[in-house]
Amino acid sequence: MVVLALFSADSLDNASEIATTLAVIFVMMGFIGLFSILSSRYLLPRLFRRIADNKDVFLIVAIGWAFLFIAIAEGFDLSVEVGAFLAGISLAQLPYSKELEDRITPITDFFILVFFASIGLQIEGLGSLLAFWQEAAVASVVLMVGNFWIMFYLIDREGFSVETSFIGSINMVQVSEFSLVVGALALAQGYIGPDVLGYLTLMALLTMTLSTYIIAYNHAIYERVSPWFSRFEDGKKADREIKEYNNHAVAIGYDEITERALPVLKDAYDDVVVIDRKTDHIEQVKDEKQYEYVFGDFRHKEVRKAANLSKASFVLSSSVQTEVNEILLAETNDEAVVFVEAERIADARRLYDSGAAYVILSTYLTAATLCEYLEQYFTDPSAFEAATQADIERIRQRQVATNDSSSLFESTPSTGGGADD
Amino acid sequence: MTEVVLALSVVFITASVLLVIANQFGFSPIPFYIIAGLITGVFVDQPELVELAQWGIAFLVFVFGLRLDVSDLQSVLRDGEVVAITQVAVVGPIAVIVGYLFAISFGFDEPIRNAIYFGAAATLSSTIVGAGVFKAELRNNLVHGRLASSIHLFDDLIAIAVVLVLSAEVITDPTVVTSKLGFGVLFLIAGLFIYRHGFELLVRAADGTDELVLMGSISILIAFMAAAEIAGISIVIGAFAAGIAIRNDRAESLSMRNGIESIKDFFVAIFFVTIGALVQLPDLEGLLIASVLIGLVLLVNPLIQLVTFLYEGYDSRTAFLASSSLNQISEFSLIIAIQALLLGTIADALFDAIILAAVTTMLLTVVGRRYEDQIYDRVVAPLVGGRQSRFVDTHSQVDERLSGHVVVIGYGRQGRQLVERLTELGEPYVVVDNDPALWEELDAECRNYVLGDAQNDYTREKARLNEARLLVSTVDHQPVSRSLLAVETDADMIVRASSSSEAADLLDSGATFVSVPSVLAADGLVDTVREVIEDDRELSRIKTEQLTTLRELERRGLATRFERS
Repeated sequence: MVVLALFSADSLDNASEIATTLAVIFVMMGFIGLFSILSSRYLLPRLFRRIADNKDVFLIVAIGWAFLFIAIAEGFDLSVEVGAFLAGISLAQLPYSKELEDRITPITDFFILVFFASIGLQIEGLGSLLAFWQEAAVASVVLMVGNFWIMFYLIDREGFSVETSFIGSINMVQVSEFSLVVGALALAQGYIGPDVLGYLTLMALLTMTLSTYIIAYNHAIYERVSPWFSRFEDGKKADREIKEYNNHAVAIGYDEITERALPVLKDAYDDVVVIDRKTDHIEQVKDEKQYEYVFGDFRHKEVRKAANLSKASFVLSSSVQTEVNEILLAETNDEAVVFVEAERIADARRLYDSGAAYVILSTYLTAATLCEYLEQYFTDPSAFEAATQADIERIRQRQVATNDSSSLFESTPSTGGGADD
Repeated sequence: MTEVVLALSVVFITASVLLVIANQFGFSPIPFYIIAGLITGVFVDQPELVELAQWGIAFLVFVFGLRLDVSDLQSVLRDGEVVAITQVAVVGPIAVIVGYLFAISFGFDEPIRNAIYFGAAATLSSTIVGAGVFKAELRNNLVHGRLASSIHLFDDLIAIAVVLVLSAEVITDPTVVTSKLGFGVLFLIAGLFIYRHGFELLVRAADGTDELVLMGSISILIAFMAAAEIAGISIVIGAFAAGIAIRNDRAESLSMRNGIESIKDFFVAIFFVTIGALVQLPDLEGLLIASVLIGLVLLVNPLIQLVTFLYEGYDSRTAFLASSSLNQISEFSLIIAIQALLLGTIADALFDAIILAAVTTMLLTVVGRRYEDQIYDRVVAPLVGGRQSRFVDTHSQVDERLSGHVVVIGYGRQGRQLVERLTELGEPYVVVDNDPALWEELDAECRNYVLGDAQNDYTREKARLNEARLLVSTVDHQPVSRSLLAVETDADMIVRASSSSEAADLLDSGATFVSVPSVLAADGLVDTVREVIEDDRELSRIKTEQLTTLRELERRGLATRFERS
């Protein structure tokens, strides 16, 4: 990031100039950074709490926020990348960041595609790419080996197990795509010629290609070489556990159905994670202080990952969207008990075939209950009175709890809420 | 590079601020994007933005193709075709003539082409705005939501054909137009050809990696667009065919669809803002054209639709609500306009007028929706009341001595089960439903029924609500529940709501009971959860039991006969 900022400065002729430029850059970045931290603490949570329920507004405001920082960075003569990075940091502090990440990533992917293609176009032919091929090959080897040992030393020193240190460092032997960003910027500013960019690109190509295979077979490689690495073994080293949900219960959508099942689940499981796409639902879960929560649309991968779905023992989905439930059934392990909801009988059958333990058909359950009430109405009025009063009480209780009747976006779907998209 | 970034900064920062406002008041984002454009247009003048906006068009149409469902097309043929065709056939020519008169009197070049631009803008209505506004109605399967979305779909398909024809340099030369149409058909055939295996191939080629599948589908989009460019037809057609080519509903394609949706939202924002930025301050000419356009869209269109819907046998409220949701300019008309601007074939005044009219009508749709019930009661109901009563009379069958009976509103899955139970109990009942498609079934299966709008006084009178002992409404729509509760009658009232907070309001308004599916379903569910947690061998028993119940329901014909709740 600092290098990027440095390159965007106008002249870098001698050491003192570089030093002053660096100092200015740090001060500027400090200012923007401070603004970013302050806003992430005071302004953004309020703003995003209002808009997070509407997914279009949510995305565009987040992008607008990024561009605000880009514009500020531009105004300070820093590179736009620095501004974008700082904007990202402030957004990452929000409880909605998982959801946002999943919305933004495809856009990033799209532009990365364009970016790398444009890097390719800037290199003037195969000649430029191969101009320093020997140097690139040597540098790649040095870089991969050097990078590995430096990372290994650093991770090992932190007291992680040898396997973790090995896998961690061997996964990082490639050239960062940031070097191409820097290279492209340097070319644009005229610091380097296309041949040097070609050299950087060739190095990236070589190391990235190799590391793809290294990462794919990292555990196999470790098994081969582990005897040599056993000298680094030391009884005291152990991986620190990152808290990860395991054998937990997951509820998708916080509505009347899941709300009543949550206490039962809490009795049986240590962790109960609620996933919902509505800010006020998440606030309620937060207020109850009983359950963990993830804000976001269950359709998004990062959201599912955050709830560690594959390790869950019990999942209760109150979404009636068959595709959501199918993903759910595909991602949970075979032992997990999965309750899902469906609107139609055909969907219910499909979900049973995909491995659902129980399919809630609330339309039919409601119809059945209503028919019963109807019968009681004619045959046993006091039973009718008792049954409906019990339900009315629940409705009243829930009303006190939610108090969301003024929401303008009642109609926006809350996957996983019970609503349909 | 920096200029583009700065221009984008202005675009997105302005759009963000306005979207926060729009969100606060519950408006659709599109008019606010355009207003953001009107503001930014003063500061930035970026030809590069127009390039980026083209991607917005491409993704908008791509996603439209991606979502196009064959069964949706069938429902268009079932419900909306007469109305849609009537509207296009009546309003289309009128609007084109009006447009031609404008073109002649203001001396536009290519008057016929400009007349068609005007006609398209006046005739077609918007999917995104309409669909956003009517999401809840569609979800609850209300008849007017279904009708409106059918017509939107029909209009969108017409719009794509119009784009295709207008991409011809000379529209008066039949050979050029036919060759464009020929190419368009070829693209669609290519899309449909790939459709069968397109997505599977993509997944196989990408080895299942989500990112690669996404990039692969975008590559297909770009390939189709490039081919369209080479064939000399609009990229809109290429993008549409590409969307059809990789259409897939299955769960595996979910992350690809999510990804495309995100990229679309990004470029669509640029597209609408850019459109706004391209508008000049309109002169008298522009304002005149805009107001005539607004008049056609707001008044003439809905009127023609209303009359046709009524003729088709829908009740007047459904007809009014469906047609009033169709009174805005389509985003496809904006695509047509900006493409024309890029080709240099649209008169500036007309372009400005179309954009201004679009903003106005899109805003008015959202505002109008809040008052539509009042507008209906004050304006429409008195006009069509008599005709309405005659229709109800000829399409109902109620024993005139009936009293102490149950009135069941809605003949969907719940309604049917209630009617079955009432028959078993030997209790008299009247079924009320407003869907003409159910008339034959009502006639065959129910002893007493009324085909009409439950909010209409005459329908209630016909159902003898005043003599009834109990009313059970299975319709999950607040206005219906509210208006039923307002009726002065001694009958007990059971209505339906989708959430507890809504239900509590209805209880306060005097409902005897409110059925909230999730509350009623939760009772049994919690027991099931408990049983399963205590002993997971219970699972297979519960599952077998439920499958038996499902078979029983299907046997009784309560599964999908008409997919309503």
